[in-house]
Amino acid sequence: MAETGRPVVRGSIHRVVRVGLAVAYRTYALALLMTIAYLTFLAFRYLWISLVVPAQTSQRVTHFPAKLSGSALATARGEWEGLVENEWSRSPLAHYHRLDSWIQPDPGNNCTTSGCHAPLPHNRRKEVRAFLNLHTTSMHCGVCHMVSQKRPLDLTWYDLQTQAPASPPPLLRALALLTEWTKQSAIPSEEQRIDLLESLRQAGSNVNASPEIRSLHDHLAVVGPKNEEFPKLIEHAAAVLPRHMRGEYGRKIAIAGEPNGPPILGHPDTEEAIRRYRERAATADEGELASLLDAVHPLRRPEALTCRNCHADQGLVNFTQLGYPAERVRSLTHRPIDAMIERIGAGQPFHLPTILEGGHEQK
Amino acid sequence: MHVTLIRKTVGARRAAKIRWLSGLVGLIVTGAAAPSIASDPENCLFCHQFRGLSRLDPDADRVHVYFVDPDMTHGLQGPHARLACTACHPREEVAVVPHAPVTPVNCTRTCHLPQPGGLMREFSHRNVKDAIEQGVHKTETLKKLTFAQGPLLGEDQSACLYCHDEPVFPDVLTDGRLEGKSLERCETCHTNDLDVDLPYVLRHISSRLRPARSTLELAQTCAVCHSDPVVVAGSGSTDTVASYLRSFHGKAALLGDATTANCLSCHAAGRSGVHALLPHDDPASPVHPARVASSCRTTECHPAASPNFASTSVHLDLPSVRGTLEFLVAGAFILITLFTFGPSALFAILELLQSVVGRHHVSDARMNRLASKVMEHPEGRRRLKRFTAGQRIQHWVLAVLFVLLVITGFPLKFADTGWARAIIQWFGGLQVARTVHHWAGVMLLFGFLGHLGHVGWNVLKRSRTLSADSRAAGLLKAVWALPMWINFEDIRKLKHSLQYWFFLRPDRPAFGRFSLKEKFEYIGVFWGTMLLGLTGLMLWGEQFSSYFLSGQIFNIAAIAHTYEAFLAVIHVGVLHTYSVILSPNVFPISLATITGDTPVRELAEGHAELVEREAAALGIHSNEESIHG
Repeated sequence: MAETGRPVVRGSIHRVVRVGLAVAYRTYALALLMTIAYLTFLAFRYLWISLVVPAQTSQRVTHFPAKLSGSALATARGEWEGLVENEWSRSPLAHYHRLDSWIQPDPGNNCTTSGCHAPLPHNRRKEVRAFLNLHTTSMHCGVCHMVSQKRPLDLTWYDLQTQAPASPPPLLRALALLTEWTKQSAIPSEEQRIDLLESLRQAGSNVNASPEIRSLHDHLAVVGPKNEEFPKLIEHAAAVLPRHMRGEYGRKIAIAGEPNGPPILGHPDTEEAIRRYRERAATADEGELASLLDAVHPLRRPEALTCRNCHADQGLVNFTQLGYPAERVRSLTHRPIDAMIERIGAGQPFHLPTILEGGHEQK
Repeated sequence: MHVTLIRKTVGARRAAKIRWLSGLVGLIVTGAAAPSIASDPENCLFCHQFRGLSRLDPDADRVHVYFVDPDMTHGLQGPHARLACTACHPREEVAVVPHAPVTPVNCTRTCHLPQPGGLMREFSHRNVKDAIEQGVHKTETLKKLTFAQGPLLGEDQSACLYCHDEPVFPDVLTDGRLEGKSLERCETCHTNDLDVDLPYVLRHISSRLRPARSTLELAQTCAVCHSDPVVVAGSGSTDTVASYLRSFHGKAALLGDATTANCLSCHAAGRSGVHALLPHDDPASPVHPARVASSCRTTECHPAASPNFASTSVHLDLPSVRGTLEFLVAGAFILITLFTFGPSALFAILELLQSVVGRHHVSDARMNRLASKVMEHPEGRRRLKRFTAGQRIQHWVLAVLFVLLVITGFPLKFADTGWARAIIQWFGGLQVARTVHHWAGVMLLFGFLGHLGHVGWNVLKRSRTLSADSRAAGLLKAVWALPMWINFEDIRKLKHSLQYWFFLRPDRPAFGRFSLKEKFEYIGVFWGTMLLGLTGLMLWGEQFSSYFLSGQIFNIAAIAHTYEAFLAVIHVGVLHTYSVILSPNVFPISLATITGDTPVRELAEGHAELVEREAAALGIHSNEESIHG
C-alpha cells in the first residue's frame, strides 16, 4: 500500500511545484508589465509637463517663511527646504535681524497642539505679552496656569521630543560644573571632564543650540586637564556659557503629576469638552461660554501666577531643585529683576541701562 | 613597524591640533582677538537674546519677533555686529522698558561707526538709496507690491527689507583657519599697539573675497517677488527665477556650482549696479540688446564668444514661448519619443501579456528542442553566436560610456532633486562631473567613428565579393545588404507579431540573427550618438561655435540634446534592460553580448529562423514538421 502510494505522492509534489513555478512566472511577468507601463506613463507625463506647464521655482529656493505666520510658527526649521538648503537663508522679510530658527515646537503641549492656543499665546496685555511669551520656550503653560497646592511648586523637566520626565538640561549641568571648578580653582578629574564634555555635547545637539557650545565641546575634547591651557579654557567656558542661558534647553519645566511623577502637559480627560466647546463656542452666550471653558480647563488656576510669584527670593519655583546653578538662581530671583517686574507690573516704565546687569562683557 | 608609524603620525597630528587649539584658546582668553569696543553697550540683549520674546498678531497673522541673535554680536558675525542697537533704533524710543511702539528703522539714517581710539565716524546708506531710485526697484514701486500671502512688510518698514536681512560675513575659509592663523601672525609684531578689532576687520575685508550671497541665496532673495504669483501676474512677466533655474546657469547653481552666473552677474553692472538695476530697455542696462553681448563676454564668463552668443535665451521656458521654433523642436522630439519609445513599450507590454495569460507558441517546445540540439553541436554553438568578439567589446565600451554619460548628464536635467545632487557630490562636484561627461562623450564619438570604419570596411569587402554570375555586388547593394536595416520583411513580421499578440494568429513570426527590436535599437543608437555628439560638441565649445551659429541654434541644440538624451535613457533604461536582463526569457541576464551564447529559450522564441537555418545547414532535425516552413 505504501509502495503504491509513493509515486502518487511524488507526482503530487511535482504537480504542486510545477503550478507554483507557473504562478511565480506569471506573477513576475505581470509585475514587470506593470512596471514598464508605469515607467512609460511617468516618462510621457514628464515630457508633457516640460512642454506645457510653466516652470515653478524650486522649493529649495522658495520654501521658506517669507512671512512668519501663526501656522509657520508651529513648524520646525527642518520642515522648510529653502531654509535647510542655504547657508544663510533669508529671515522672514519683516524681521531684519537674523532669525535662522524660531522657537522649537512643543509637540507635547496639549494647550497648543489642540489648536486652541498659539505657540505664542499671550496677546492681551500689550506691555508684557512678549515678556510672557519669552517663557514659552522653557516652561509649560501649566506652571503658571494650572492649579497646584504645593509650595514651592512640584515641578519636573520633560523632554520636548519624547515628553518623558527628564533630568535638568545638560547646559545647566555644564554651567554648574564650570562654575564650581572656577570658584574653587580646582582641576577636574578625568571623570568630571568627561561629565562636562557629555553635558556640552548634549547641549550642543539641541535644536537652536549655538555653534559656540559645540565649539567649546570640541576644544575641551582635545585639550586635556594636564595641558597648560586647560585652566584658561575652563575659565573661558565658564565666562561664555552663561550667555547661552536663553531658555532653550530642549527640555521644559512642567507641573509634576505626583511627586517626581510624569509632567502634566494638558488638562486631563477633556477631549469631549474640547469638542463641545468647538461646536458651540461661536453661538454660545457669555454664561454658557464660561461653563464650556471651565469644562475644557478643569485644572486652571483662577488667577495665573505672576512674575513675582516665582522671580523672588522665596518664590514658588525652587530653581536650585530644578538644577539651576547658584549664580543663575541668583540672577533669576535677585532684586533688580524683581524691581523691574514690579515696575512693569504696575504699569511704570523703567530706564536702561541703570538696572540691568550681565549680558555681553564689555572690554 | 607600520602600525607604530601610523600611531606616531596620528599622535603628531593630534599634538599639532592640540597645540594649535591651545594657541587659539590662549588668544581668545587673553583677549587679544576680542573686540575693543562693546557691541551692546545698552545691554539690550539682556532681554532680546530670548527667542521667545515675540508675539503673534492674530489680525495680520504675523509673528512679531523681538529676538536678536546674540551670537551675531558676540561673534562679530556681520558688518552690523559692532553697532549699538541705538545706532539704528533711536535711543529715545527704546530707553524705556517696556518700549512704546518704535518707529521702523530708516536704513538711510546716519549712524556712527566706532573707530580705533574710541572715535566715531559718520556713516550712511544714502548713496545706496540714491542708486536704487535710479533703477527698477524704486521705493515707490516696491511699496505698491502685493503678494500672494498679503503684505510681507509692516507698514512703513524699510523697502530694503525686501532684499536684505542682517548681513553676515561669509567665511572665505570654511574651517575657520583664516582668523586663528592670521591673527597669530599679526600678533607677532602688533602685540599691544594695534588698536582695532582684528577679527572684525579681518572677517569684514576677507568676506568680500566671496560674494555676499551664494547663487541660490541670491535666487531666494529675487524669488520673493519674481516668483510670487501675484507679483508676477501684476507685472505681466513670467516666473523669471524659475526659468533661470531651468537654464544651464541655474541648474549648475542647484548642483552646487558656486562659480556659475547668478541674477546679478547679468542684470547688474558697475560699482553701483547691484542696487541700480535698470530696466532691460534702458540703453545703460547690461541686458539691453545693445549691451548684452558685452555682458556675456566678460572675462569671467564667455570672453571668447562671438556677439551672436548673446542671442541665446537664458530664461527659456518652453511653455511660455509657445509657437517659437524652440517650442516646435521640443514638441517634435516629444512626438519622436511618442512614436518610437511608445510603440516599443507597447510591444514589450503585449509580449509580457502573453506570459501573464500563460500563452505558448504552438511550436515552442519543438523549437526549444531544436535550438538545444544545435547548441550541443560544436559547430552549431559557434554558428548561433550572434555577436562576434569585436562586436561584444564594442557593445560593452558603449555600455560603460553610456552609463558614464547618463550619470554625469542626467543630474543636470533633474538638478532640483536630491539624487542628482548626491551623484554630483559623489563625483566631487559639477566641474568634475562635467569633465567626465565631456570626455566620455568624446570617447563615444571616437568609438562611433571606429564602428563606422568597421561597418565601412565590411561594406567595401562585400561590394568586391563576386556573386554567382561573377560580378561584383557593388557598393549600394552591399550597403543595402547590411543586416541591421529594417526591411519590408521586418514590417511584415511586425504585422504578424501584432496579430499573434492580439490572439489573431496562433504562431509568432520567426526572426533571424537580429530581431526587429534589436535593429530598431541599433538604429536608435546610431542616430542618437550622432545627434547627441554633434549638439554636445556645439554646447561644450560654445565660444568657438558661436562664430558659426546663432543664439537660437544654441537653444535648439540644448533642447535636442536634452530630449534625445531622455529618449535614449528611457529606451535603454526601461526597454533594453527589460530585453536583456529582466525578460522572463533571459532572466537573470542574456549572455549574448558577454560569452556570445544566446539563451536557448530566447533563440527559440526570438530567433527561430536563425535556428532553423543553422540546423538545416548542419543536418540537425527535431523530427517534427516546422510550422514556419
